[in-house]
Amino acid sequence: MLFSGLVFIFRFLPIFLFFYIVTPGKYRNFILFVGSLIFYAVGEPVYVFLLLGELILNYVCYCGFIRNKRHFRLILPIVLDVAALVVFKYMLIPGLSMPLGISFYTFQLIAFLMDERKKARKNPVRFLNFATYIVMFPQLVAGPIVQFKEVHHELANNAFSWEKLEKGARTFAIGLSFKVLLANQVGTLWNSVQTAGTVGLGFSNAWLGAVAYTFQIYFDFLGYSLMAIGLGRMLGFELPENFREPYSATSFSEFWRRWHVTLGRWFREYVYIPLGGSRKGTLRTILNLLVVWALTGIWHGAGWNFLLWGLGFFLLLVLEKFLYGRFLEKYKILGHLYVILLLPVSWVIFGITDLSVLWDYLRCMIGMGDDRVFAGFSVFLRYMRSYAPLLMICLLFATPYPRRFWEKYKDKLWMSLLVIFFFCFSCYEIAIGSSNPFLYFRF
Amino acid sequence: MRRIKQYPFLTAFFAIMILGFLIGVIKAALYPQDVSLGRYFAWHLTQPFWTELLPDYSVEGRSSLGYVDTYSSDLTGDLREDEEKDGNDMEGAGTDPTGIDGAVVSNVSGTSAAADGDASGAGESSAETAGEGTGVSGEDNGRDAGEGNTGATGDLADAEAVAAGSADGSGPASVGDNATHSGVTGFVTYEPVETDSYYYTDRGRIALTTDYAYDTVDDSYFADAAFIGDSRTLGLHDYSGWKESAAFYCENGFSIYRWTKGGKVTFQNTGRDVDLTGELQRKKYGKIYIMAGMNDLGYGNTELFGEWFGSFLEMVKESQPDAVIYLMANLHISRKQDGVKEEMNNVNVNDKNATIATFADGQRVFYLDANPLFCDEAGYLKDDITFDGFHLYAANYPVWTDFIKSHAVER
Repeated sequence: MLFSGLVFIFRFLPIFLFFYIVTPGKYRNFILFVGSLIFYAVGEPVYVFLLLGELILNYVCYCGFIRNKRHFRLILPIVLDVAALVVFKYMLIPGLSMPLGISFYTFQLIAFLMDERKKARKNPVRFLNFATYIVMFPQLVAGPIVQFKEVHHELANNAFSWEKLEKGARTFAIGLSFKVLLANQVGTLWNSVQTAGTVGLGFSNAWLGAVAYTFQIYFDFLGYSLMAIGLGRMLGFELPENFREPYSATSFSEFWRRWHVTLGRWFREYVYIPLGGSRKGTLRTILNLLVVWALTGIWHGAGWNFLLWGLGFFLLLVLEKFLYGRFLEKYKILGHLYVILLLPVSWVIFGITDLSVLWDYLRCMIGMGDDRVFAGFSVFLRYMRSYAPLLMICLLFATPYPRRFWEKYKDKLWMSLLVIFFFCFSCYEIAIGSSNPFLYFRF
Repeated sequence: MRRIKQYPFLTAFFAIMILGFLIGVIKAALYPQDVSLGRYFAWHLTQPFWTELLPDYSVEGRSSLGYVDTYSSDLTGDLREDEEKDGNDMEGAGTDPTGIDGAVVSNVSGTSAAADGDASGAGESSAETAGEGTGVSGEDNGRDAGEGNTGATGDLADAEAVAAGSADGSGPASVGDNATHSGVTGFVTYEPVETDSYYYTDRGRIALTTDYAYDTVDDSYFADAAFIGDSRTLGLHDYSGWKESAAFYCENGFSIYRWTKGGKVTFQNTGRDVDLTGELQRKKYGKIYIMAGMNDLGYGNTELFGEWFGSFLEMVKESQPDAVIYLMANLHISRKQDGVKEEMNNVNVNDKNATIATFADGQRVFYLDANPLFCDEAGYLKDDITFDGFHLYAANYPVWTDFIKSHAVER
């Protein structure tokens, strides 16, 4: 079930909310747990048992750890979780598809175990709280990657309120609008450029396509994260934010503090720092960064282009850390230009899985494509005629200004009406069957 | 009142939803044939409770199913009293009186070969959960109606060529004797499979390019040409090199259905939306290329499509009395995309193409099918020439333009 689908919005969500609100406070977690399993089972009728199995296994080992405090009891479930992820995602066994959200819930399981290692608890967390934390449907399939401490209080004490429902519904509607009205629409431009093919793709169109994809992936994932946060808030939980206007960064170090924030946090707290972080000398720091970025790359997908993508950022971050980072901070304009120029290139590497097609596309981007050009400047002009307004709007929403505007007027009635209008328009677009992919769904 | 001030979003939201729902239900009851925004809301909020009460408006003018052969009488072709042509079964019922037993015509365009033996198609479309990353929504980046399960696919059991009366067994592909088989649009028949879709029927026939002594021309031929169509024609506009000379009335999502509703189409030469009927009355062209139907796969059924296409063609013929008209076959769908959406499959495409082909008369209106150039033996668009399964890579358009240039009719 996609958040941006009518089945979810007009069937699952109203029915679930009804039961959730009607249920007395202390049983709400149970409703959320069961409802989330149903949500998952609709998309994965078989793999829901894998999920349940991992929950039980992790919890049993965790209880054993609380009793005995031997680290092995935590290392075992972590290893098994990673093994499951590797088997289902990377081994590409024919006939074995990848379970929805496995990349996300595996990381949350590991986060839980590693956080619990540091806490000196006498008694284990209740199974229901633990399980609900892992599977709650707002964040099960596509994040944000939540830490247990962020929801523990709300799980232990019923935290639902109409106020939060109101705020959450707004956030959800905005997220949906970003996804359907911005991401899906600009995605058709990227689709058009890919449809033209890399043979004879002109310089202008190669860049136009890359920019379109840059916007698509941002608004797609931002939209989905906002929907997740909105849903979480509707249920009473404050899920962490995942994006902080990443495209306004002046360096890639800053970019990765603003893009998919919870993922960066996960890698920092559970991989980088345990490995020593930057406290063991320059060489070790570089090595740690290499591990983190290689893993970040392949976490996004089982493809060589993803590894390339991660390693590309490793290179840029090392250069920034040891060479020109401070220079960029000083001359912010140059920093902005540096990011704006390299971002589309990085997204192209992320977006094209076939290495030979990727190589051809990159050649087109530096003007070294084939001699015979089919999709040339006149085609570019035609695209611009259709897409220029949309691209301008995307550009605007990639800056911090809309958010400031929102913060100022979000409680006004007219703002609510505006958001409802966009919500209805989004539902209309979904209903008439226009392009509605979800890019981060293969996680 | 305090509640509204306290929760402006929720109260406004519920108020609008209830209002919209009521409007939608009332409108749906009053105008059952009207497909509109209100209906979508009413539909999705109340589905399936209203299914019994309201008429099914999801498809315009749903009509009866069945293997209706509407093409018996007014078929194409040069119906000269030629001996070689006696006994040619124009309806494609499968008999072969002229002795071309089992001869597979070289330009056969087949249909999807995977036969399950049972009527309804195999499998559920998992378009939402499929591991494909970037969005391929099928067809144009524009709108298409309908979503859901795969449709049936037929089995190309025997390609029995019942086509133009080439008694010497050379088949209609050979441009041969003008007198004997010029102007006939033949069909390849096969064993049809029962379908349960209201969009189309498997009639067991695939149309072939009109047999004619075509000339080969160069680019100057298109100086007075007009191209009408959807996103594939738009590709032709972008990559053929004819955009400076010819007129292009095309856009993503163009459909005959929309034209019947008075919809406009983009005149790509200026980038403005125009009324096609008015344009064709004002301007005179020497040749008109029409390629439409892909975006009609989910509108109505084939019989209706035939009617709409007929009136469309009438409009073109009346306003362009001197023009040669080329009806271009819709391209097939690739293996990966065939059937991902219920009505987007090659059986449906062939059904529409066959309907279009019946309008070719071999004297002024010709049917051109470029599918054999781009499809494999089973009739699927080849995977290595398309990104999304529906459109060709830009680099493949020269093959297509060569085909068009080698199938020209000079007056």
